[in-house]
Amino acid sequence: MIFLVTIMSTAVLFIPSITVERAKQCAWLAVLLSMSAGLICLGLANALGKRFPQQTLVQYCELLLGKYIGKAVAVGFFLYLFVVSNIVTREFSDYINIVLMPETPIMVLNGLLAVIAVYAAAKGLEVIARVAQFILPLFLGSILIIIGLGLLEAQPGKLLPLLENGPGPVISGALEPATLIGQIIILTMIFPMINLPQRAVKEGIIAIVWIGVLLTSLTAVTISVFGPILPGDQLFPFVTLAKHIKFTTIQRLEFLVIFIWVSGIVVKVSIFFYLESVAIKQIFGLQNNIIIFGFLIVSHTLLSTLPFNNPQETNFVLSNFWPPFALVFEFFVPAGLLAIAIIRGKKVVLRK
Amino acid sequence: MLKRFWRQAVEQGKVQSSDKAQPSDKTQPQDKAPGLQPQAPQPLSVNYDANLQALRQIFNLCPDIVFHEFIINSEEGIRAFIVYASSLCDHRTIGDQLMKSILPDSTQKGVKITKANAVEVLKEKLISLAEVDIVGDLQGVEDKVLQGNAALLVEGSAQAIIANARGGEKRAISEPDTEPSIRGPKDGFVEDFETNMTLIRRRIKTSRLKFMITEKGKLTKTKIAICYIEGVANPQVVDEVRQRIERINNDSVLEGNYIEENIMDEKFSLFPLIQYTERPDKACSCLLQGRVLILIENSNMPLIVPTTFIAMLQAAEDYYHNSLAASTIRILRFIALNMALLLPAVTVAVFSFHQELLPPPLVSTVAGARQGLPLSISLEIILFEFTFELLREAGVRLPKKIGQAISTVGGLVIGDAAVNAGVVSPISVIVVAITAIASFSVPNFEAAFSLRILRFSLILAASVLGGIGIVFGLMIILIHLCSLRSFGVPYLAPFAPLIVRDLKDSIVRVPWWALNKRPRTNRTPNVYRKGKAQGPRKPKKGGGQS
Repeated sequence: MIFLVTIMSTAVLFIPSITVERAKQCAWLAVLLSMSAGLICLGLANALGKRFPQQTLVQYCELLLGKYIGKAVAVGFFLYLFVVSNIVTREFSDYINIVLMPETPIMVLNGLLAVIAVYAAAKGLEVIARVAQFILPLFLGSILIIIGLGLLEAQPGKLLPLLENGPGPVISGALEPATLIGQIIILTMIFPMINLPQRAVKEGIIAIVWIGVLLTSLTAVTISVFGPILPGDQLFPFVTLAKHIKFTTIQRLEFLVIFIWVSGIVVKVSIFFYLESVAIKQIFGLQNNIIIFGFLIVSHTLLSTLPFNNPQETNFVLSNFWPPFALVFEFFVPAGLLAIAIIRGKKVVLRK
Repeated sequence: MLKRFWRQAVEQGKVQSSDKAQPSDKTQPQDKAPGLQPQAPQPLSVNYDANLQALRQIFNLCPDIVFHEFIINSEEGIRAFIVYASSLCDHRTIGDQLMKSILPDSTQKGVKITKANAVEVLKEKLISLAEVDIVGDLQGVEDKVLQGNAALLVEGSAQAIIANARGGEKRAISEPDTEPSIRGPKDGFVEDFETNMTLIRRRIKTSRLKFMITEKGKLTKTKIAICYIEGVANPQVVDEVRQRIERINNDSVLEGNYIEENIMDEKFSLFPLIQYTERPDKACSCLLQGRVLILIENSNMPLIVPTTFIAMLQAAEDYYHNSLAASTIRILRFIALNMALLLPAVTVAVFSFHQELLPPPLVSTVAGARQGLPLSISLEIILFEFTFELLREAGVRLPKKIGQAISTVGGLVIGDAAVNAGVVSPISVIVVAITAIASFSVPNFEAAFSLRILRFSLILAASVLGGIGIVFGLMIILIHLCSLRSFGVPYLAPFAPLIVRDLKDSIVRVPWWALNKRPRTNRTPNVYRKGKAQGPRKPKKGGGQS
C-alpha cells in the first residue's frame, strides 16, 4: 500500500501530460505498457531480496562489487534516491505555486515539506506505512470519483484510431511512466526491515496492477474528454480534468484532489527521506540522526530550487533526460547486481 | 532580619542541592526527601508500657488516634490497650463488636485469658469481625491503624491483633456528572476504594475478575488495584501495566493523573493515551473487551488501558441504544470532531486565500458583511475563539449561580455587541459558535483539550499558508497519531493498521448479535464473546400465531 501511494502521488499529476504528448490518443496503451516494466523491476527486487534477506541494496553492493566499485554504485543509488526526492519536492512546490499560492516563494514550500517529511522519517518506516495506509482510501476514493465523473463527459471516439503511427511513439511514451512505476525498486532497501517480505512482494504486485489500471483509465478518460492534443500541452491535465467536471452542484473538485494529493506527496517524500537516511548510515557509517536529517532538510530546501527554472522545464527534463538516468538505477543496477550474484553466486548466499 | 534569614535559607538550600549533585550521593538510595527514609522494622516488645510508649510517640500530635486502656482479666490483672484512628473507623463496630467480644463477660464461660494464650484466644474471639490479622512490629501497627484498623495489644505479648473496623465518612453513590446518560445505569464511581470494587464485582460475577492490589505514594499510601478478567485480558498487557505501575516511585498519589502520566507510552502526547471513566458499566464493558482497569483509591475515575483514538468518540450509551441510532450518533460525533478541529481553519483559509471556492451568492453576502471591518478574518476568528475559551474556562470554575452571569455577558454582550459595533463580522461569530457546539459533542473531555490546542495551531497554519497549511498541519497530526501507541496497541487502530473485524465497533456500531468477537486490538486470548448466529430470526412461516 505504501508503494501505491508513493508512486501514484506523482504519477497522477504528470503522466497524462507527458505520455499524451508522445503517444497522442494511444497514451493509455503506453501506460499499460509501463506497468509491465514495473513488474519486471519488482521481480528484480524480489530476486535480490530473496538472495539477501538481511541486507539492503546499498549493503550488498559492496559485498558483490568489492569495496570501491561497490561503494561507488551505492553512492550512485543514494544519488538516485536523492534526486528523486528533490524532483518530487520541486514538482510539489511548483504545482502549489501555480495552482494555489502564486506569491509564496518555492523555498518556503520546499522547506516545510522537507520538515514534515523528516518528522515522519524520524519516526520510522512503520509510522510512514501507517500514514500511507490511512490516506490510501481517501487517495483512491478521490481518484475513482474523478474517473467516474469524468466518464460522464467522456467521448470514447476520441481514443481512436488505435496505433495510428505504429508502436514507436507508444514505447517512447511508456518510458516516463515506467521510470515512475520502477520506483518500486525501493523495495530492495526496505526488504530487511519488514516482517513478512513475501507479503510485501504480493502487495507490490497488487499495487503495480492497481497503479496500472488507475493510470490507464485516468489517461484514457483524460484523452476521451479533452482529445489527444490538449492534455499534452497542459501541465497538469488531471487537475484540468477535475476542474472541468461539474456534477450537478458539485464543482471545483480539484481542491479535494489537491489536498489529498499533497498528503500523498508527503508520504512519498518521507519514505524517500527515510531510505536516504538509511543509505547514508550504511554507506558512510554515520549514526547521528540530527546531522542526517538536518542535511536532508537543508539540501532539499535549497537544491530543489536549482534544477529547473519553471515547470515547463521540469516536464521537459522528466520526459527527455530523466528516463535513462532513472532506468540505470531502477533496472540496470539491480539487474547487474543480480547477475553478479548469480555468477559469484552461492558463496554469498551461504554467508547469509 | 527577615532578609538575612531568607538568604541563609537560600544558601543552605544551595549547599544542600550541590551536596546532592555530588557523585558520592548517587550510591545511596534515591529517597532523599525528608521523612521518606525507610525505617528498619522495629519489633514490638514484650513490655506493655514500652509498646504503649512507643506508639504514643509515633502518634504524637495526631488527635484522631485513640488509645483505650483496659484490663482484660481482672484476676490476673492483664492490661491491654486498643489503638485506632477515630477518623477512619466505624465507632459502632469498635464499641459494639470489638470491645464487647474482648472484655470479660460474666455470663460467658470461655477459656481463661492468661498472658500466654491471650493473643490466640482473642484472635479467635474477634474472628466474628471481618478481617483479623497479627502483626509483630511497630511499623506494621502504624500502617494498619492508619488504614482504618484497630490494633489490640495485650500485656506480655509481643504481637498485636489487628481487626478491621473500617468506616468513616464517604460519599454516597451518585449519578456520574461527567458522563450522564439517558438509558443505562445511573450509578457512578465514588472516591471510596471498596465501593468501587463492589460496583465492578456486582456486574461481573466471576472469580476470573481479578484485582491486583499495590500501594503507591510513600506519604499518601494510596491503594491501586489493577483489575482485569483472567483469560480475557492479554496477560502481557496486564504484566506490562503491573511493571509500569511498579516503576513509579513518588511520594503522593492524589488522583489518577499522578499514575497516568507516569505510565504513558509517550513522554508527551497531545492525545489521551489512557482513558478514564466515571461509569462502572463502561468500565465493565472495557474489562469484557479485554482491557485493563486501574482503580485508584480516592479517585472516582479509574483508568482504562489500552485505549485507541476512536474511543474518544464512543460513549457508554452507544451500546444501550438501537444500533442504527447509535451508529448515526457516532457518525455525527465524527463529523463534529472534524468540525471542531477544522471549521475555523477552513474558514480562514477559504476567506483569505481561496475565495473562488465560495459559491457566488455567498461571496457577495460575506463580502458585504465584511465591508469596513478593521480586522482580518483570521485575526477575528483567533480573537473570538480565544474569547470563547475564556468564557468556557470561567464558566467551569465559577459557582453555578455566577456562571449564568458569565453566559449572559458572553453570549449577549460580546457576541451581539461586537457584531453591532462593527468590530467583527457575523460570519466569524457563527463559525466560532458552531465550532464550540461541535467541540462539546465530543464525549471525551481530554480529547476536547487536545482538539482545542490543535484547532488553534491549524488556524495559525491556515492564516499563513491557506489550504496547504491545513493539509500540512493535518499531516503532522496524522504522523503523530500514527506513531502513538497505548500499551502496545497502535493508537489509530482499527484504521491504521486496518483491522476489518474491529471496524464493526468503530465509527459505526453493529447490533449486538453481530458483535460476536472481542476487538482484536486488545490482543485478547479469548476471542469469542458468544456463540455465532444468535441474531433475531423471524418465526417460520406457518408457525406461531396465525
